[in-house]
Amino acid sequence: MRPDVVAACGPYRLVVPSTALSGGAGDRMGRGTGASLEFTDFRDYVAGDDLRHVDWRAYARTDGLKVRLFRDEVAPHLDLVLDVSASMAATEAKARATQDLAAAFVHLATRSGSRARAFAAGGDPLPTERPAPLVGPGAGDLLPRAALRLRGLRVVVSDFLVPDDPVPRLRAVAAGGAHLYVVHLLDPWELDPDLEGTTTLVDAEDGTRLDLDLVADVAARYRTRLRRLRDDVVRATRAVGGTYALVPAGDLPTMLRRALAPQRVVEPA
Amino acid sequence: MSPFAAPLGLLGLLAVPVVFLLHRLRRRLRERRVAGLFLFAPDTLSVGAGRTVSPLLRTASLWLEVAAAVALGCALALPSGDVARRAPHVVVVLDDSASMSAVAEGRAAAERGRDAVRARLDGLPRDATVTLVLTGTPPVLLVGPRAARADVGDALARWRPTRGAHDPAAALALAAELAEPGAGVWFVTDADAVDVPPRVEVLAVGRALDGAAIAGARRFRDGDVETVLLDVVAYARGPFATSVSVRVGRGDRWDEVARRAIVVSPDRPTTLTLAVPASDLDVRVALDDDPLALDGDVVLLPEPPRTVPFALAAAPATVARLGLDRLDRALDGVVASDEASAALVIADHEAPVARGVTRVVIAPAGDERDDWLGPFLLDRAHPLAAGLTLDGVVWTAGRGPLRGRGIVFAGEQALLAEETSPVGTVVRVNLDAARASVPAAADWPILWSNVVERVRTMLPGPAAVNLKLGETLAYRATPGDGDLGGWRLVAPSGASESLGDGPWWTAEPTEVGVHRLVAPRGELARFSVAFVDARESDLRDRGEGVRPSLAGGAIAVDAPVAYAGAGAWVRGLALAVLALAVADVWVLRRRPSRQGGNPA
Repeated sequence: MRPDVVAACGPYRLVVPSTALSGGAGDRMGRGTGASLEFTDFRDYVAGDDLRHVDWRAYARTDGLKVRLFRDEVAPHLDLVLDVSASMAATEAKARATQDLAAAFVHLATRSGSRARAFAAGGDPLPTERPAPLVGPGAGDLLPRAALRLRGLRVVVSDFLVPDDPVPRLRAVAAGGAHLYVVHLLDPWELDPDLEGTTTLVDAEDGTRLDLDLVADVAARYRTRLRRLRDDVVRATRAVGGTYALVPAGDLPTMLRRALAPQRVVEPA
Repeated sequence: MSPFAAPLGLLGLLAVPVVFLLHRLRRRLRERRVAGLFLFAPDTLSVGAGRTVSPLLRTASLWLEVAAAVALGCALALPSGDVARRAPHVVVVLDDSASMSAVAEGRAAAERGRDAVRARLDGLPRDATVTLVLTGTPPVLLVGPRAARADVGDALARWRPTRGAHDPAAALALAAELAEPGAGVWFVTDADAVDVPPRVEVLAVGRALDGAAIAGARRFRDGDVETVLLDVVAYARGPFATSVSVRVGRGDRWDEVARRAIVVSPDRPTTLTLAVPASDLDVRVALDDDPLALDGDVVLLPEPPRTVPFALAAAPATVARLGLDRLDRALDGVVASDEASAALVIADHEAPVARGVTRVVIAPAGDERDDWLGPFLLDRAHPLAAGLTLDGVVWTAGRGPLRGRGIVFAGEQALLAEETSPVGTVVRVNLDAARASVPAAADWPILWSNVVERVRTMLPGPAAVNLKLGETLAYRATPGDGDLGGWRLVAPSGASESLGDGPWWTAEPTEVGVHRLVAPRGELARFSVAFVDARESDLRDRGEGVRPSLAGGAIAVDAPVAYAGAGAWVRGLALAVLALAVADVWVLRRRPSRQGGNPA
């Protein structure tokens, strides 16, 4: 893992909701009985039971072997769905922020004992140890081709700059998961475009060209449409019970401190 | 067939002078690469700024666009009297969850669903087309899109729903995308109260049933007797009577060795202990007369021995004081060994660790001592801390740094740490054995049990052979496994999944039953996957009936379509227009950018 990512993530950890989780042994409460210290019940020992759960003090008092039942404690799986379309590399800052956020979520999950996997939105698994190339087509379909793990945490990082309804797309990703984080990553220029006058805008994904006079009125109407699109994503996230975070592209410590922490995606470790 | 005889053809030819005009009015603007172009689209520049009139350049793009305009005009001029009727289209979403396999009155819900779909398809015109979608994450396109009606029969007959609980929303969203306006969307499921989009018609084919399920099963050997431990849960409106049968065998041959009638209380597990003759064969446990056979039938494979060989490399007095001489009697699955062949070495001094070995070093850090009464801080995420409480313990430790990841702390002093490397693992216990009360506490055997189990997971072979659906299968290569490439996991259905190169493999099986791990030199291991999912086993809230779509269920059968059945000329010209447009785009994209990148 890159040292700068490790250093930036040091003071934080993922905010994990108290929903039904699934994963390896960890520090979050799971669904069933298991190996945590949250005691639930006693039952008689039977051959094959885990010796670690025998109540030796009760044995000393009663001469009867009892097994303590605990709530399961898990480090929830984390499946990262990364929009690798060329639009995520529309500017250098946005491309760098996309790679940094992907590395940060993988590191935060791995550090807490979770198994993290990454997928291209609508595509195949991505390697977690190196940055993914941002050259794909538009992320119309977010659900990866490979199955996501049940009751795990899911994170979507995308700019959502497609004219499709986000509700079915996010619902498909959230289905079967314990919780969905939607990280809406936009370049500062995309949030508030400069008034550059007559300009040819070139679509980062398909090269479509559009001539316009980028003046105050045009920028204001653009911001209104962007706000509606953002409201749609917020509504879609709420519909699946997820957590939404708008993140202006920047350096990783700033994104963690000013965007992800205030919007309850990460919290102080 | 003159274009001037058809008004649309004339309009199409008007595109030719427009192309010339546009090529004269070329724009020279600064460029910016953006992502959300559609958000700017309504503000496209329509007048003046930056536009200049330039001499007409005879470029490839110009001629391609002129040719496309001519072809478009000709295509529009052709008569369209042979436009055909659109064939009706139906998208059927099949609930692929295991509860659809529940049997009532001799027939499974899936069979009733099949019959309902077939009966409805028979009522559609002969040229109707069908798309079959299976629910799941992600959904699966079983047939189609827009397959002929005759192609559906075999696929429906092969459909065997076995998935765990999942949300059908993704499949319904896919169906909505595949179904054009006017097409029907049917959702075949076993719950009549399911939440669906307005245009979906629900065909509920379930029945409210009482049943039971095996929530957990294990087998243990003790001499000539083997014990099967079973957790059974009833999902019923009252006490549920059934019987449990235990059979021993493999493949197609099974001999019943035990049977017991039981009455199970609803919604809480009942634990059964069944004794069977010890054998190296598979043990199959089944609940009789259960509506959902999938959750009441478990195959328990013999667990391969995963004995942990350990060696003691400490002074005899220390070993006796720590009770380590009784380790092989206190814990199952450990055997004393020499240091060269041990997977676990317990020592009182540091030494280089051999490949694949875990070395536990019990020694105080530094020369000064502290007696810690607590509070102790434990890293609960670490398996070595599982079950430890350290209540009432006096831990005498050295005052100094401890290398590795800290697991148990008293204040800032690390008492237990683990250091892993590609070679092996070192666990350091900062303990003065002569003074501490830890070896006399109940936590001491728990700690050693944790150490042994952690070492056991690193032994070669399968980590576990009896799994639940959704759990991860893991296998570490043994020295005799041969070539580490070309391994496959073969599912009970015969489906084969290629695994990457070793020496450590994991997979997440999606089928219930016995899976085989196969290498080029033959079968290496078998894994049994049991279905455990309370949401699918509970059939009490299932129901049947038809719920029409809220958007009106009539399927359009006579809507006209623009090009279906039109003449070959129209299709050829339309293709030519498309090809010319693509070529034009390709030519334009090859042009070098005027400004290179984005303005700062």
